[in-house]
Amino acid sequence: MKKIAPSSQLPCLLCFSLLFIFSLTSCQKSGREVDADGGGYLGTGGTDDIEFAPGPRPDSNPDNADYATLSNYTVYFSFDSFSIRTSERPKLEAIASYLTQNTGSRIVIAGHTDSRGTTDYNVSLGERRALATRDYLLGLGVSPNRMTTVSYGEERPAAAGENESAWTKNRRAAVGLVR
Amino acid sequence: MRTILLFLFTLQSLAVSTYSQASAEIRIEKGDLIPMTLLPMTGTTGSKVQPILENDLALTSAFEMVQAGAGGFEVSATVSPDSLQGILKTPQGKIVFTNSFTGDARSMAHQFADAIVEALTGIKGIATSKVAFISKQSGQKEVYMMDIDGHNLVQVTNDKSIALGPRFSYDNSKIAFTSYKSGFPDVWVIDLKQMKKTRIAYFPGANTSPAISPDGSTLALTLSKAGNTELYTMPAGGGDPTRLTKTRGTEATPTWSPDGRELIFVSDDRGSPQLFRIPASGGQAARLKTYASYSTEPDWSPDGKKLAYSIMEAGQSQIWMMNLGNTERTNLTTGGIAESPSWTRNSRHLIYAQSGRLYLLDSSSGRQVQLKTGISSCTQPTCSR
Repeated sequence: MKKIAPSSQLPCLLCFSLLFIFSLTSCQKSGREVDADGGGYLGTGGTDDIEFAPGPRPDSNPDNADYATLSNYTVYFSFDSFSIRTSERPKLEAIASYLTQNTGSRIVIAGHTDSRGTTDYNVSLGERRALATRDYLLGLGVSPNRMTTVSYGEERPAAAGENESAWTKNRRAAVGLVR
Repeated sequence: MRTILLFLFTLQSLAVSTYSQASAEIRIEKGDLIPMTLLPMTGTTGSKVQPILENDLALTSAFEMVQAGAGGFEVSATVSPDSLQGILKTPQGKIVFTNSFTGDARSMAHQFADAIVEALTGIKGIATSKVAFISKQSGQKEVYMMDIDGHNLVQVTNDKSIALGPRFSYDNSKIAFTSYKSGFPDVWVIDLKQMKKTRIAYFPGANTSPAISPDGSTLALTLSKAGNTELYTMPAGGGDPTRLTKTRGTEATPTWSPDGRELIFVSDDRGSPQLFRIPASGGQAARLKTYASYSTEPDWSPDGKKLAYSIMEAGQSQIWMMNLGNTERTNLTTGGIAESPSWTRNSRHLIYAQSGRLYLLDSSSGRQVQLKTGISSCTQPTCSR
């Protein structure tokens, strides 16, 4: 157990000193500083921006969607990122093109993460990936009413294993046809 | 040396205590082991209750069992099938308390254990606590609940989808969690008395990370209905959500201050997951400095003074604790992937998950014991208050 700062409650001065010395040495290992300002704020809440809201949920369970037809166009992401990489843009153009040709189709965009990081955070991150994918398709002219999102976080890996090869395949947004 | 000095300190304090009840004067500081002798229990079911009590005391990591007459506090009891008469004495033979407990064998042992812990350490015992968690034993992630010693295990959900992030309400009557039963991540609340499950939040997008406020009236959660995952509060029984954040990033896992006035949550708005503190009624959020680039899973201690959280670094995850008064930070685990810290009611012990197993950690000493669950792939524990 590493102490980062001494406690003033220890009744034993000797231990107090030892802990304090230990704390000075262990401080270096505790991680890198990310942001030195120590405060700042995240913008406060407000009214929901409806035009960018996720589309209505389809009646059918997204588990039953057809993920095979557009499987060549699965969008991959970098670690802890939801940015659409340049390499992935042609896939999204292909999906938009498919939807232009198949006017009756609706899609569900399933966001996934690799296994690193915590469960709940990864659900949020997977959702963010699905939404980034949807936003890009919106920009390509796909109607918001034809798209919905679901995040599975780290729960549905495409590849098993705890290595970079598996993680790379698992950080994805897969596009399914609602049926 | 430290232990001996403290023990002498303790004995000196005991000499001035009246033993009438748990008092600050017989509190033993920090994580020092308290010597104890458990005499063979008498009565018809004494031998049945004895190992239950022994295990309860071992779970606390606070006691050191010594031979009779070797300077330990002396525990004895007479047990019948429906009552336990327990006695705790000082090493000098003075009675600290005598008390009787009723219930089944396990319940009586747990109550006696908690009374002993409270009398000798000044903090609440946890033997009567419940632990809820996620297990993939059935092949799908479901919510389970058990006594902290691993007995009375029950499967709470049978949704056959994905259940995530169970959290007890402060009064222990409910568990909030996320389930994909509808196909989408929705927030559900289980009333434990009736085992009745109610879907509370099912907006378009993700509905996750629910935490019930200390007074039970409000749910904090994250929703993506506005087109981005954001932190919200909403009535605990369902209703209109109020948005607290507006970011380009991802928010997750809010935890309430015990007075219900503030929340600490995770946001990666600054580029990586960091901890932020915000008034529960809305306003500006201030970052809590953890000096780590990936900090998640905050859990506010019931006494309001400490925050447990996890830090991911170099492929590993460790549990840390921050004193919210002076921002002193303490690393509580080393090695492996330790996740999902959850305080017990005494704000000293916490439970966490590592490699599919659950551990009970004494934050005062760093000592820990593995909790028996009897099932595999256990994650995301939450402890009753």
